[in-house]
Amino acid sequence: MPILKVDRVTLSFGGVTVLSNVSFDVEEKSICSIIGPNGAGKTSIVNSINGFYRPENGRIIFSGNDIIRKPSHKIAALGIGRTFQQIELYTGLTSVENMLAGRHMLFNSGMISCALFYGKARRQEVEHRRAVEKIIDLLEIEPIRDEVVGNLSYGLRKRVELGRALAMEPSLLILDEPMAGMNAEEKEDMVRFILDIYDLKGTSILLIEHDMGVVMDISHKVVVLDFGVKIADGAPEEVSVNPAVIEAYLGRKKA
Amino acid sequence: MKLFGTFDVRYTQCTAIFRTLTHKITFVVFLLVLCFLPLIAGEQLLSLLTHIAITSITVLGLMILVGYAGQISLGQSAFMAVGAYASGLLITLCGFPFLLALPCAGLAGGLAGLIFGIPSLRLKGFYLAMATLAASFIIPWLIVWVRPDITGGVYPGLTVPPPVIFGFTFNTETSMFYLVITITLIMIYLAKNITRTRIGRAFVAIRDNDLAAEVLGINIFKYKLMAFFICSVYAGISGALWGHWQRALNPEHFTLMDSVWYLGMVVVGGLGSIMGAVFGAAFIRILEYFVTAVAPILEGWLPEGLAGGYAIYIFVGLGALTFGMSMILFLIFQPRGINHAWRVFLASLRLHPFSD
Ligand SMILES: Nc1ncnc2c1ncn2[C@@H]1O[C@H](COP(=O)(O)OP(=O)(O)O)[C@@H](O)[C@H]1O
Ligand SMILES: [Mg+2]
Repeated sequence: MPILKVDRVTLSFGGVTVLSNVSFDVEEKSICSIIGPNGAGKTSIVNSINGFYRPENGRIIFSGNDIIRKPSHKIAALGIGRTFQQIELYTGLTSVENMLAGRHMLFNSGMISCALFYGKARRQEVEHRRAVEKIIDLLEIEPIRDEVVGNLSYGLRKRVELGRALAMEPSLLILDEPMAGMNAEEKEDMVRFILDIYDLKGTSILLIEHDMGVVMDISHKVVVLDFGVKIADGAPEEVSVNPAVIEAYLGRKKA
Repeated sequence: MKLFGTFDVRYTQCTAIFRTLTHKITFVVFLLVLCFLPLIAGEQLLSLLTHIAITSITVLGLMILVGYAGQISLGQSAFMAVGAYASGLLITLCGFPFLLALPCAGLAGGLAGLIFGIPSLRLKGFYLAMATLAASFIIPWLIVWVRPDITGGVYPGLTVPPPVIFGFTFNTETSMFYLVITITLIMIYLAKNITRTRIGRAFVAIRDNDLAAEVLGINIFKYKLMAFFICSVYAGISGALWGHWQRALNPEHFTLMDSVWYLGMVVVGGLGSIMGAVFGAAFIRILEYFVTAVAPILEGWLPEGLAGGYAIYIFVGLGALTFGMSMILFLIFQPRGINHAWRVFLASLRLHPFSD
């Protein structure tokens, strides 16, 4: 039973079709990757999944709910967490506060309780702080936990952003090019963190990547997108020998 | 950086307001000074401090809305009017005790703010400011024209009794000072709590990145409205205290210009800091106080033809001029406000032996 089912999704902007009839599944507790050249429509799929874009056709089923017309914050509440290709952190908050803000939905203290800092509000602050501290350990960002994220380096901000998505305790984690713009060492770290998250929490992961290399090593399934059309999907070994993929993606890249 | 290398051993300590012994001692000393001040201070000083405290409450609300949630409102003084009239009328007409009328005034202000905050769901920045501007005209208009028989309209206005708590009447400058300071301290504490918990983080999330906030599960409509509500609850309470202090209300006391001043105090104090609200209110009120004191002196220096009865005009011009100048100077030289300057100063004290 797939955790996410993207079913014949079509999206266009002012007559330009960005996604046409794209369908694929993400199996529960698996790492699924979407690859494709720049402008293929990968980010558009993610934006459609979390309700930021509104596809005109198709269905997106997450854990049995059709989410295509739901507002973004409700989709998040169902258990979809994500990171952004261009980092979108809360720049005025510290790393810890960003992650606590990521756990927003897991709190249920109200306005009065927060204003009085009494009972539920106080208890939950401590509880969630403890949970965030575990994520900090996992992602090895102890030294920057109280730094305002606006001042951090690109690689660290990417890590904090991953931490914030993880803090939501999502059942599906969508990572939009988590390794873009990183050097080899940072990339290696990021791959290690993704695998750790998968091993420790069994989170289903939808990984968007531009670069084929890493994806082939860690994915259970690869979906290949080109000009808004899915041209192949399947196990990495199959996809990498698929003539259409070689033609459209690898071939063009070599040329 | 923590004072003298404090180490947290429990997570509750990370969220504490006073993190070190020095903080606690400073706070206690500050409280003692406030307690004993009326014994030595004259009425004028007490009155200035009371005015600063009442202003701080409304600026605190605006700070939450503008400095934390990143929204804007030009209706703050109108929401103060709602609170002031609500409390005054509930006591005089319905016989409410002060301690019940005050929260009701906050609620009334809050509801008014909620209504005028609805455009924030669609509008941002300049356009939102224009939409909230409407409150500055509509609310005084309602007060004057809907039931002038009850509100007293512009003339004679509404006479408000002094607060009475358990039989004690707060009808002197000293007793009002104690009452207002106590309520202000409570309001500061509540504001601090809001900003250090889940709700404050949701506000900052909306301010810093509303798209990400929505995608990460924050219902931005709900939290924008909540920010407007909290902001104008503060306005309502501040307005009510002002009414009970002045004992007379008139819609002309609550002008658009006042709302602009409050926004100025938020900026001067430092966006996104609770103490900044208090600093901003104090700075502008003290400035205003000096301008009022200086105007008659300047009048004496004026050539014969201009002097005599014109001091009031000089004051009006001088007030606007100094306010405008201080805003410009702050934006250029200290855009992060007094609060930031204060922190830099504290940090330099802390590092003193090692800094140059
Ligand atoms: N909001 C938008 N408005 C108009 N065109 C868009 C928008 N978002 C994406 N596109 C277009 O859709 C195509 C796919 O973009 P994107 O999904 O970002 O690709 P990828 O993430 O695979 O690089 C691009 O041609 C882009 O210009
Ligand atoms: Mg992209």
